Amino acid sequence: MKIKTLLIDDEELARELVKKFLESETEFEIIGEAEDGFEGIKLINSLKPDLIFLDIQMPKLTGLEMLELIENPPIVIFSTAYDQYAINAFEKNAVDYLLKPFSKDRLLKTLEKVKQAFLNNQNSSTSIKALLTNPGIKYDSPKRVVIKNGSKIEMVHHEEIYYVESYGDYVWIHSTKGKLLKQKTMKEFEDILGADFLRIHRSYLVNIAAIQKLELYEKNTYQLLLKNGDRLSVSKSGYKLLKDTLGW
Amino acid sequence: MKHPILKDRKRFLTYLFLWLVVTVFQYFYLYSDFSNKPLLPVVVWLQNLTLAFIFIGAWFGIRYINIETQKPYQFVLNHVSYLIILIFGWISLSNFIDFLFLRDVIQAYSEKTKPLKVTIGVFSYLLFVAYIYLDAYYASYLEKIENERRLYEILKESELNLLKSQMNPHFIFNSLNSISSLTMLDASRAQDMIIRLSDFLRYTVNASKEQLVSLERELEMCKAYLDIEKVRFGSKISFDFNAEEESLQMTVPSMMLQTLFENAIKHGVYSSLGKEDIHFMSKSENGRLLIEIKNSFDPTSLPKVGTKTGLKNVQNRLNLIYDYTAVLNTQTLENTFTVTLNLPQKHEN
Repeated sequence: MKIKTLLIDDEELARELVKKFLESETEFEIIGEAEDGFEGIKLINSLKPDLIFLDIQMPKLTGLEMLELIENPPIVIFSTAYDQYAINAFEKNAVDYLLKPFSKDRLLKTLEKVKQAFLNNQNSSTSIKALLTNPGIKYDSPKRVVIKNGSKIEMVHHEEIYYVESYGDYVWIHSTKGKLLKQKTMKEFEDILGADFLRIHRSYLVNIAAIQKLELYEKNTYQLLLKNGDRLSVSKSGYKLLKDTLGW
Repeated sequence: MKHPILKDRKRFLTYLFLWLVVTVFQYFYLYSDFSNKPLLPVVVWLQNLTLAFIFIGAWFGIRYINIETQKPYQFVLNHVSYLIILIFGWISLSNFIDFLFLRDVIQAYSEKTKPLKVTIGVFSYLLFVAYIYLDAYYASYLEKIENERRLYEILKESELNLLKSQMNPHFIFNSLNSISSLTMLDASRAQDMIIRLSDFLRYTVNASKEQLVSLERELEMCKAYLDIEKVRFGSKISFDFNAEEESLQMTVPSMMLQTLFENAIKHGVYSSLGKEDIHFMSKSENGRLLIEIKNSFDPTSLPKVGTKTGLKNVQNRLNLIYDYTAVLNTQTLENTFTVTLNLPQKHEN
């Protein structure tokens, strides 16, 4: 049985190189190529590859964002030209990667590991999940969140988010593009969104720029009025955080 | 401007101490003649204190007498008038003090102290003025050193930014990866690309040595850069150059156009799934160099991190090199982004 391989890279020459290197490796069969993340998702869903070569820096949707949108990712070999932070995150999470330009020997070594994993019927979904939640990996990434909304992919810029509401293992993202559901924890979102957002309640993470005013609700309890008209309750620690951060 | 004496407590106390010293000498000088007057030291001290405070107050006027903005005769005349008015005022005041405390010996006392008062008045005025100017000079000297240090830091920083942007590791490693691929697919194209990359690198290594280069040289390097990107992205990228002959010999800050082209590529082809293009235009107008770089981009793609830092660095460098006489403008229209530069032509010393 051959290992079905998909190449995802926006540069044709980079894909050609991997193809050339794989010519002599009979266990691997290249079943498709994608020029960008969107095409990548489509091909992963339709062709069900066992292995993908994934470039990180691609237009519109980075390789990492693409992985967030896939339910059960196959084995992934990342390839990147230079990304100090990503490399640290790869090593920490034991994810295979190739630094461009790479030699054929280096590639074969990685393929050896892939073969082992394939024979043991492992996939890399756990290590990939750990990788994607690693704050270091987000270092140089665009300030946006990618969300699968039915068959559509929504890209929400951090500035477009009003607030994030927890919902079990998921969160609701309330944004200018509507209310969107994303599988991620509040803690992860706090790391991703950074200092522009405040955790005003166990269930709410609010964009500071979206705050209209703080209102007294009942005795000693407050609620926050947002620019989109929503009202959110504020916890005691949230109230303190608001006061400390915004100097109220 | 802060008061040179009242600026801090130490200066004020030193100033009073110096007057105390003068008072002590004066007292010993007068002691033999007026030994029967127990109030003598108080009188002398009061007189000197009066003068001390007159000077402190006079500073608010004296500080406007400036040798750099006034003609020498005006300068001297101003000081002489100040001197006469202050000393006359002081002597009248001190005579009044003498009259209050030493009424019985007033005749002898005023005869004995008149020349002394004039001497003290004139000398202390001269010393005070000299001190004011020295202090102001020293303060402006410190400020100048501080300014130079800051300017130097800005220069160093912009040089460092320049170096960083030149050695864009993403670009270089991706290019090397393309070459690695081409060596197996098309050896002569690989060689071509190595040469283009070398041209580009050679220029960037030398560029930090020169502030200004001819547009012709800078463009050659930019073309090398764009050729390399063309190999990487193929038909996704297209560009054309329209440089007026006369403008080619004019000068631009080295690596500046490269930064702008890199920006155009970053926000154009790097962030788009389709084909994006870049147009370059340059001409000379009234002795100034006009440059326009226009690129198309995908307006639905969200802005990348660090959108503005590249342009801000360019602006800072322009301000430093041309002392705020160069103009950088940007314009975003639907799916085109235009940068225009209007550069004066100065001769490097």
